[in-house]
Amino acid sequence: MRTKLDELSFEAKKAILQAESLAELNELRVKYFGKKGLITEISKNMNTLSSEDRPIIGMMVNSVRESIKDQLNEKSKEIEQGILKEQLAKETIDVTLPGNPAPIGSVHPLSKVTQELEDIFIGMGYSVEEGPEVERDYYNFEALNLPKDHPARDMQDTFYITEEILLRSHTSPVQIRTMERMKGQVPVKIICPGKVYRRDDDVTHSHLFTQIEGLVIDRHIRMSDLKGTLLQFVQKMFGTQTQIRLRPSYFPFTEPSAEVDISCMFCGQAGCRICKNSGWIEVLGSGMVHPNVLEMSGYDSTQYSGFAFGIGVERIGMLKYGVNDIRNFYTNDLRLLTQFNHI
Amino acid sequence: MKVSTTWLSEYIDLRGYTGEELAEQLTAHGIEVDSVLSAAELYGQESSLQETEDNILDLDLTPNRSDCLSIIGTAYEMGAVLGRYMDSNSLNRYNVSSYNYSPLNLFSVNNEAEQDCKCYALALIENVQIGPSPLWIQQRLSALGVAPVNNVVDYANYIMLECGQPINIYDADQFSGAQIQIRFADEENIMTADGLERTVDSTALLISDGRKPASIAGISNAADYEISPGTHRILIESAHFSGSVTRKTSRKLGLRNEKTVRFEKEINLEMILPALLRVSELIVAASPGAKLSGVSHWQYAPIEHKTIKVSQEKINRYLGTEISGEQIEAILEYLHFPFEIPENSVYLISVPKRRGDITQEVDIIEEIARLYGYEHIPVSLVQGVTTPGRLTNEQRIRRSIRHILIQSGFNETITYSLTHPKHFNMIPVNPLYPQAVFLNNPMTEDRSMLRMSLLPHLLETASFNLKYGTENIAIFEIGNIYCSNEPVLTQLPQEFPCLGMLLTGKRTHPHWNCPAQPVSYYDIKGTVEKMLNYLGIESYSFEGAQIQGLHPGRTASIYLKDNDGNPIYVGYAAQLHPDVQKQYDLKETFVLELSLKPIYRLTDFGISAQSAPKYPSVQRDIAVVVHAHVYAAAMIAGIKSSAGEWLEDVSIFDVYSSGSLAQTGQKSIAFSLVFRHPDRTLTDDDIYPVYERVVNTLKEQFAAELRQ
Repeated sequence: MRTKLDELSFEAKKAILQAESLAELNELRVKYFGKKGLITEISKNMNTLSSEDRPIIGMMVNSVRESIKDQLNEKSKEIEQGILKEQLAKETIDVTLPGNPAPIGSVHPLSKVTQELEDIFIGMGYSVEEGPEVERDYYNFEALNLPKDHPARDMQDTFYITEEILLRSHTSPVQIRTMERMKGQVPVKIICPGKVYRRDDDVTHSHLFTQIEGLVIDRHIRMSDLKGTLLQFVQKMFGTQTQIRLRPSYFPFTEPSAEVDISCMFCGQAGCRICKNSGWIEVLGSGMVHPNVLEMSGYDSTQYSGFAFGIGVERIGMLKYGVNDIRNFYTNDLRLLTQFNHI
Repeated sequence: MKVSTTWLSEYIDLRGYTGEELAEQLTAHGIEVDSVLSAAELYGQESSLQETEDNILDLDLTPNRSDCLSIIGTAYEMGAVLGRYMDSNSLNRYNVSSYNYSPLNLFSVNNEAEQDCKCYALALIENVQIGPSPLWIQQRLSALGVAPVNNVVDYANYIMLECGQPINIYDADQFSGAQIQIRFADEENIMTADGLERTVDSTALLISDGRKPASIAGISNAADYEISPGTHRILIESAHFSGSVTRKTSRKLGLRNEKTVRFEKEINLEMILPALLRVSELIVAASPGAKLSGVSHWQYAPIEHKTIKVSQEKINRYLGTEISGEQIEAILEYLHFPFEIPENSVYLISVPKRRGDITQEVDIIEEIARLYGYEHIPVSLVQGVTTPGRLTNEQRIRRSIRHILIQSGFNETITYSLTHPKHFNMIPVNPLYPQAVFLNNPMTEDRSMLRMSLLPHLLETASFNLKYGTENIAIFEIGNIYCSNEPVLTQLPQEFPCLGMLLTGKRTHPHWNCPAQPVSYYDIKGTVEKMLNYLGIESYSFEGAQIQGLHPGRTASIYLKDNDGNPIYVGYAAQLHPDVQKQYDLKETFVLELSLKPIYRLTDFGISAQSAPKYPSVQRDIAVVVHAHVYAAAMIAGIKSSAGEWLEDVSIFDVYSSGSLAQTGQKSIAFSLVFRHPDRTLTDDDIYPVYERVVNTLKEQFAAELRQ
């Protein structure tokens, strides 16, 4: 009996080892464990054994059965894995082919710069105010210390619709409207982005351009605060190594007034084409709010002071993104625009 | 204004500075110098001309600094910048007490415009011989860009350049009477010195001899009164004419010159008589035998002397500086601003008449700041309460719209607001505000009115890009349109913020895995639906419409539902009419325009989260055949109204209308309905009556036949 079991076990293991498919393994399973399987038969005939042999042979039969079953399972796993492997190999694709298109558009460079500027000033505690593009002469000029016939009106050649209604030539009227609305309350801390219009069209001027003006009014605002604010802004925009230089200038609505230059980031102030070898690039105009402007819009100039600045968005865009002609911002050539399709 | 360093050196010591260094100093303190030209560059290396050390500085003056429209004014500025005093001997040339003269009895003046001519002075010189002026005068004038004429006009110009006072010269023999009249014109024709016949209106100031005008004040002589080679007696005029009158008339006539530039910015009343005396002396000296027969001076308004009080504390508080009293005093002294110190650290400053720009405390603070040097002002941060920075809701929504459209493959454009009226023959405009806003002073007809729609420039942009080889175009613009209901504006016009979109070509480039399908109406509709959903706006509808310029069978009006349930028209989505397509050289093009104000109002920032449903949903499909013109939106509305509260969603998964259906003008449309009960699992028995109700509604309302 023992020899018979040994032979059976040996035969079974050999057959299992040689099997190549799950079907063959199934046949073997039936051959040994089916209703008329070889192991099944032996188990059925156990009662013919003596009571001494039965437990011993019984244990031997169980052991052989378990070992064949284990081997069957193992082999079956092995074959399954082989099949899967083969299938996966067949499923191989060219993972380098271009992925399916998921089109993305692009943000206009002026929107991109405007949003960036807005976010910098929002981070510094400024609210963003807007106002009409078609304005009254009063808000665009008179309330800004530019009465009719003021010679400085020549500085901004303006599109008129009627004697009193015009296309705003800067976003300063939004400052005036905000001051009127605030009725003398402080602090005023706003930026005013928007389109502005001047009767001017050449390589360096566009009759439409974009401005962001800023206004701060409170008690004891100093010119040094203006300098500090502008330094903070340019360092956030162009990097912490950026320096500023203020040059005295004239705007009717600020006094003292200053043109603001930043250190040239293209040449590290060694001198290049962009900074015209000066090491400095002019980026904005600014100044302390003229007392007449404060008074006209309801702020007592002996109590309050303020500063204001005006940034040309196109100018910043040209510096930041290397756009070389202001008019390119308005040509809307998709070959340029689609370059602004990522962060 | 050009200035010569040699000429300046007669009034201020410039030794130790090169032309470039002077330019740097001036620029750093507020007078921008555009260029510096050396004498060698000006006259050539081989020049034997006397002023070879000269440098010509071209000043770019801001409108407030008309005091620097002269050599003397610029010399004062140089002194203030360099910390040097003016040469008082040279200044004596403009001291009235340096001159002896007798009054001019031949002429009297009747001034009817004392506000606009506050001071008037005349000198008469006899026996003048007109000829060329000395070479050095000619050189000085040429170097500053003024062409030499003769020994009378050249001195007039020389004095104007030196002291800023315009000098006018008449041929005295042309005057018919002794009474000179200063008066406003009365629609008169005058032949000006340039030989052109001009008409002046009642805003123009004239100098008349009683018979006819001798000049338009401060702008141009009448041609007859100009001096000629045969002139022997000259009448020299040195006067004040107000900036506003000069500006108005010179603009109207298109006559601007060195004189008008100075009058426009208001001249120094104190310089009128000294300038006249000095020019007279020079002309007499340059013309052998000439004799000054008299000088008269009429002052119609007192010269007001302005004083300004400012404290050291205020200066430093305003600038954030710590400027010492000594520094302030030094600055004022080099400015030649006389001052007193009535109390400790308070300055009472007498403003010289040449500095008309200085009228109040802050003007003095500015002088101190710029001469102290902006580079010495420290850097500080704004003190006081902190303020939260923020965008308005409208700005946030606009950013969201931009974001979602870019994510959907659209490219943002920004086009001009000014446009050509021709566009609006074929393009829809707002019927409530049909009036266009036209510019009074356009540059070209192309940019003569404000756009009433975003469409024209989107079409032009598409056309432009097609021409340059970009065939698949998906663009949008967020911007204002402008219109009014007034033919002539008395109020500000309406400015409506709008979104415009344009789509043409294929959805994608040719791709190995995805066919490049042409875009359709449903692409643009799908994108805007996605956008509205993203903004939390659920109640919107598209309704078939007929709008000018758009395809009559492929145009939808878009409505939002207001908070009170009323529909608001917000715009359209459409295929462009073939005629318009052709006009702009486009192929099949799809467009959309939306008014953003209602969208701003109805955007919902709030999300109120519901817990995920506990019970499974049940899906039922219904396919029906209806007439081809039945709107899907109407059928969905019918389904929603009849399906009851368990209906969670209804979608259309198939539309089919070819073969026999097409021949009979019908289409098959298949809906997928999803039902769910909040508290239990729905059974077939639950759904059956609902399904029946929906099918019956479709049959009754739309004559639908159920497809088997």
